[in-house]
Amino acid sequence: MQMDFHYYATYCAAILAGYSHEESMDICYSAQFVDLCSKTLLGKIGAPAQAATTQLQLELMDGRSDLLAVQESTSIWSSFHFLPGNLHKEKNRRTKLYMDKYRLVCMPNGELVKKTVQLAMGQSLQHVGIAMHVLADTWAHMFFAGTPSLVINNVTTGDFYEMKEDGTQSRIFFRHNPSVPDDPEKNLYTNSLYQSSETSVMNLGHGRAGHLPDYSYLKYRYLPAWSDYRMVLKDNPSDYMHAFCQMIYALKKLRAGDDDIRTEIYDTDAIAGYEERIDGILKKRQLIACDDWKAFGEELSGMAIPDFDIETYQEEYMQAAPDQKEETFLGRFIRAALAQKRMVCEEIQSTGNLLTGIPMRRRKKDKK
Amino acid sequence: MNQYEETIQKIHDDPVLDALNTPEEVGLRRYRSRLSLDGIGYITFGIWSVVKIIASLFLSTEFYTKMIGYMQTEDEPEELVKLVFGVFIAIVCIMTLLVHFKIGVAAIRYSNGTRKTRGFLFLVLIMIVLTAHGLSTYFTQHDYDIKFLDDTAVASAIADLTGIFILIDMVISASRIKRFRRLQREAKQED
Repeated sequence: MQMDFHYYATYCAAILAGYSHEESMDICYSAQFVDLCSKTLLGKIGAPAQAATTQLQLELMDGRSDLLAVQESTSIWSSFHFLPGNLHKEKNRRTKLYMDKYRLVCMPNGELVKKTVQLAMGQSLQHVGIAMHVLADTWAHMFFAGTPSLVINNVTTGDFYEMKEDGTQSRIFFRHNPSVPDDPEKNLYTNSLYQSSETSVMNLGHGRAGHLPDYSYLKYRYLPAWSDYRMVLKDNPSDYMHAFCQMIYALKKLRAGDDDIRTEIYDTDAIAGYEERIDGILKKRQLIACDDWKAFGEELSGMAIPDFDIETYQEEYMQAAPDQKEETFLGRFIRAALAQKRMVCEEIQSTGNLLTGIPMRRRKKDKK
Repeated sequence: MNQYEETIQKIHDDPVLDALNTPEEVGLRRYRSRLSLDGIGYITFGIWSVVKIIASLFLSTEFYTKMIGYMQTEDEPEELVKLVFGVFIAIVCIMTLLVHFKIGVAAIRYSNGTRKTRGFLFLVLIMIVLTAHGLSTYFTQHDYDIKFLDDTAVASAIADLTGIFILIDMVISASRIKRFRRLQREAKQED
């Protein structure tokens, strides 16, 4: 998902869940900040690099491709952007190496998303924002894994078809020109280059499908590498609506301190009277819907939503004394990011999957 | 259907998708992909065969000298013999490439539906026999004495084995494609 959903739509969901304008701003800022909190930024402000919630393109390009780099990459992307749906799913006649990656495929309504929301219970608004980012991305990024893997994340680019509302289908074409914006009118989009190396960074996440999962208006079918030659359907308007309603449900639970979190529950009552407006925003054929979501949010709250500024809280963190840093906005965000990453990595490692690293407990045992 | 597949179906139940994911459609996609890859693989194998021929001439002067010796008679100048030998090798290389290319392209065209007949499979069967026979000469040329079997012979044998595997997979995939196309036609007639 992009800024339109992570920042503005999360703000709208928070207002509808009963949070105040200031609280909603903290939540939505944190949700958007997950897409920007890289090692480079953390290094600039003197924060721990382990709290990185994303990797910039330049960092990925400069990165190594050995096991340690794959583990670092997987621990970040699986924890914040491609939360695994089912760490115990089965598939016949596959090696452990394949299954470790297959089980990292992102899906909504998994056990981990429930734990993500529960982890944010009683915590800071920054933690709530991170949880909302992770929850929303389970809908947008489903069917892709947060680990570089050709056999999981590759797609057959010749089999992408947009399914329009009138029942017609039109072929989607890809090109490798990131300097030119995608062209929805001509169905021309940019994706990552095909690389036959299994752990190439080009095969990380939804790179092979370009930005298609992040465009709320697109409904399309395609052939992913993991699906054993079965077509899958990605209905973004429906998925984004599910994500929005599930966010409202989760936010209400968090605000009330009720840790009885369940999956597959969507608070459609909260959007009563707004369904058409939201549906219109989601289905409007545009690459980014910031203006529409912002207008909707300002109508809901009656307050102006400032544009996102990555530097808003950096000075506060840098100027704070070392023992006061954790109480700053970014300090709370960093603490929440570390907790989220630790939880997800431990869950993955407890299944015997070492793609996010060797479990800390095992390391202590080895030392003895 | 396992729990994971049930989740996918629950989220995205669509009649268009159901029609695209019948066992015949899935099977056709699988074997078309395999046959197409086999075709590309066999063309590449053809390039490897040509490289092997040329490399063996440059690296094995003994073989080259022996062949020139066989071809030369008393009256003919050596340069003429070398020229004829060179033309002969070029023809062999071109023929090798052509045969591999023909089989590979035919496989690719059959996989994407451009070609309707499976006549290229006769050529495939001939190449399986010839390659298998060629494989045995790696071992028989020194009366099965393993100590004469050098690394290059082993590597070439493995490459040839791969070629045979590709050819066998072509036969299997082409047969399966024909079967699934027939099942697809029958299913459409029933509808």
